Amino acid sequence: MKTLINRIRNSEFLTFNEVLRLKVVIVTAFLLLFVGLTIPISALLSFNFEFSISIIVPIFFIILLLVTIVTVILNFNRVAMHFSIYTMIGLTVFHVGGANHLYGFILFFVSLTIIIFYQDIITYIIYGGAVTFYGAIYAFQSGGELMGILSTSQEVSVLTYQIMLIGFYVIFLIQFLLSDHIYEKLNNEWVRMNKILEKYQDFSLQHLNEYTEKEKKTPIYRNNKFQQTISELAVFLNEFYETNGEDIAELVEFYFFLHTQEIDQIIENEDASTEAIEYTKQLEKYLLNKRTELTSMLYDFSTLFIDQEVDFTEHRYLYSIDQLFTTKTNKMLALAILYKFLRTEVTQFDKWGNIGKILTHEEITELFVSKEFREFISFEQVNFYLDNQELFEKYL
Amino acid sequence: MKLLMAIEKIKTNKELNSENYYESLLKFASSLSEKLEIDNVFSEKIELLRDSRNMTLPELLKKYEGYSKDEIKEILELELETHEKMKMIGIKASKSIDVGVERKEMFSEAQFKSFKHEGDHHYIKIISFVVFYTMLKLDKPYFKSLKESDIKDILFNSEYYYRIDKKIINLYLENNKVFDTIVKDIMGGE
Repeated sequence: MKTLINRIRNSEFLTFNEVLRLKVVIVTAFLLLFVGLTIPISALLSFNFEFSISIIVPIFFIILLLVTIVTVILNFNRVAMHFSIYTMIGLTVFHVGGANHLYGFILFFVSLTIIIFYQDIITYIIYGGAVTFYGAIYAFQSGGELMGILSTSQEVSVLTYQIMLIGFYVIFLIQFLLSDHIYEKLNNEWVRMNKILEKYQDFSLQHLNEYTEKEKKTPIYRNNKFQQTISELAVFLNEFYETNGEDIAELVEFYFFLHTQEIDQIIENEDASTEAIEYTKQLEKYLLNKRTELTSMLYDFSTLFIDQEVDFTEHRYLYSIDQLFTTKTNKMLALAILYKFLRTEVTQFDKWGNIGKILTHEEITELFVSKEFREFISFEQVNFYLDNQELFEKYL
Repeated sequence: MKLLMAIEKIKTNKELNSENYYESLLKFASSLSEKLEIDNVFSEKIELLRDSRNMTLPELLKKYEGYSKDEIKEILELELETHEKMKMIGIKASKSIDVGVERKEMFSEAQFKSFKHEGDHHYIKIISFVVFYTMLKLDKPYFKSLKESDIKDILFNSEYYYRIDKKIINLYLENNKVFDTIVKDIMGGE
């Protein structure tokens, strides 16, 4: 419980998958409580001890909840989410067949709330739509029971209930569509920025590898003292978990062994044990000889210590030639310098994976006209380039 | 990007030569002006850029009287040896090739780098953290070793605290002197 509360408190630092897992756990806890409190009573009171109802229904919901719990434990969080929704929809269907119609009708809103809680637009459209559709039909068919004997105008009352339910669905659908669009755009930019940063890191790592090779230095992961340090530290830290340090020491050896191997071959090797494959997959993220999460975080960390500009100009993160320069001649010169840079400097990996390729005129032209390049040059500049590209090619 | 530029400089051990750029630019500007049938309005600016490598701003203002201080400052942004902007645009532009984003990537756990991935064995969380920690303690071509007190301070006061398994980071914070001793005993250093 303490862990769950801590996770909820620190949920801004969780990944999507972890957040989804947390949500499923919360919904499952709610469903367990709900099933535990309502199903035994409903089965006994509302359905007159019918065997199929009083025995099969509780078993059915217990199975659904067990599947949800097992899939959460196995970390299939998306599958678990679907099963938790099936459980809630099942509960709604079960209760609307009971004696208290208003109680059943309220469960449509509870089902929708749970689906909304997962914040997944496709899930909401499909399951939420189905629940709303069923709820609207239910309100139409059971209007009298819903309003009770005090109702004076059944048509208006049924319509009111239907509008309430459909309105609830539509409002959240609009909210989903708007937030999904903004969210997707922000995420798109964030993922794209991450990918570009990873490219910088790919090049940084390759530069360092080539430098290490040129200087005839030993890569750190082959250094015996480094390996021993990692082993000692890991064993020391593991002592707070268990007394036996042999397993983790062996895994540290395996970690360094992986630096000399083709990871894909180990994972695809049919003779390798399941445990070895699982550890390989988990350790791959932290290898030092390729661009991994570990090397990325090391680079990120080191950027904290890079001297930054003292004056934080408003143009600091601006890369558009059109916005950086005010006069046409400056813009043209900037465009020519950019072309010359791409045409002269080594900026790409060659076919052997070394940094040794320069872009060709054709590749630069393709880049200039690409949609992504509007971040750097405007349409007007592209047109200027296309009109005069023979001069660019000849002199720059 | 600055880190990449620094690492590239470590490897190549040479600066970008802007003279080569100016020679090409002058020929390009001359031909372009001829083609467009306009005066060569570029050559003076290219000369200004050339001079800027050896002259101060007041000297440039004195020599190029037709330009205001702000105009000269803007032109200087085009210089590749003394200013970084154009080089940064070039590097970023060259790395923007084939950077597509798929919808499923937006929700991928791989986008979140940490030492505490859900589903990883605690051995993995320990090993990844101690490798990271030890790397911070060592001199690297691009980044000097950090003092124990600095590492502790940053790990406790930055987002890295949340990227490491809570139990592991707390164990480190409580026992950082032992960590420091182990590294010094084996790897040496102060």
